[in-house]
Amino acid sequence: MPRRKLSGWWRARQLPCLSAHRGHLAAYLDGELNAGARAGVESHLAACPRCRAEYEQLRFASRALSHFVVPDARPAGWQVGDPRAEQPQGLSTATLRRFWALKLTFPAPVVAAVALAAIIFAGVLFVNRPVQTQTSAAPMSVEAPATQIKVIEVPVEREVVRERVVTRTIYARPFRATPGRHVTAGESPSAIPPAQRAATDLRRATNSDREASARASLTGFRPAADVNLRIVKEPEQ
Amino acid sequence: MLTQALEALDGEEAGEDERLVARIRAGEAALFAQLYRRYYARTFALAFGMTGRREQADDMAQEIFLRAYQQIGSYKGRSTFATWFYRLAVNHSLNYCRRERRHQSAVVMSDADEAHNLEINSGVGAEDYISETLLRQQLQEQVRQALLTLKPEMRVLLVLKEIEGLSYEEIAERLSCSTGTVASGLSRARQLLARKLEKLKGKI
Repeated sequence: MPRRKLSGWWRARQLPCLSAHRGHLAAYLDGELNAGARAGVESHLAACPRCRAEYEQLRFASRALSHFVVPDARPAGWQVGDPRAEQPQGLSTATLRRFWALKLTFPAPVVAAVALAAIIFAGVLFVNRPVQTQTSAAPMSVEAPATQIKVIEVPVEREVVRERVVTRTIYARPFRATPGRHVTAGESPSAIPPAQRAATDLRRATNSDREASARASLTGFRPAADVNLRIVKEPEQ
Repeated sequence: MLTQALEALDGEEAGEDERLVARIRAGEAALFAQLYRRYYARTFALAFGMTGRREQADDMAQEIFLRAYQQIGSYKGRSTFATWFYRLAVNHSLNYCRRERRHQSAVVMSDADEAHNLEINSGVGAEDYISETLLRQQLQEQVRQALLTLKPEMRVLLVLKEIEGLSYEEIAERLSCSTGTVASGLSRARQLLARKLEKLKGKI
């Protein structure tokens, strides 16, 4: 093997020897070389101080490990019953073996593709799940007024999900008789003129883009065309 | 105990283990105790070399036998039982050490300890007041600690070669690699160990 040309004596000191014999030092130390290789290593060791130093390191480590003492083993007793009775709970060995056999039969990419398809299918199902309407069981923060306007959502399109949140907001907000005045305890919300109440409700509840139209005209109020929202007017008492 | 067990191992008839295994698989589970007695000493030596502590070595050896017992059905007889068993043992000990290494950092002597040891070992008249036994114990302790700081993959090579005294071929068989890999790995592991024990040079 040709020697690399070195730029300085310090590099020569730091670089290990590039001879092939250097790779045989451990085997030489352990007596794992045949006679020819052994002679080769010996002659190289006589000529190369770096390999000699490395060989000394290996020998030193080997000598150091001769001071590693393993204490006497004290085996505890081994008592077992029927191996079939000692199977771990859960899956039996036969089941596991079948599982592994299956795993080997189907290559990993196929298994991964099936798993991915299942996840996507589940995701689609989750997104398109039917939304439950809340008509009677709407949470009321004040006692239920004889509402004049009832908003019923029709769960057909995806937008319904957004509208449902809006309806929740309607019922969760404290009822205001007039803007800026809370309903006080003991005051019946039904005492407030229905038209004013409904207007307040709608203004607070609807989205900002539809706020203006709701405020302008109650009777003429219609939801945006892209929203599946139906307003049912109940007859006034 | 170790020598007895090793003699039992050496004196075994060829194929006796395999016959035992066949009977165990046929239902005579109690016969596993014979394999346990026969293989325990070597398994414990491997476990002690890998963990450096008796309690952990006992635990590891027990786990190895338990695993061998549970998986004895998967021994197909393609190799000797000893090969199969030791391969399982080495794999398990490597996994055990990697797991332990993740949970707790390697046992490294604190600076105070090292300073103390150095002081004692380099004291001029140390032998005057410290018995030879104590010095030897300290030496053993230092070697043990240095070995434990090596990576499990390097440690297992040194344990199999220096403590169990196996040939390159046997080590390669147990680690499922080539003898060339064993030789280069051993060389690296020894150099690392020698560097860690630099301060003991001249005392060993």
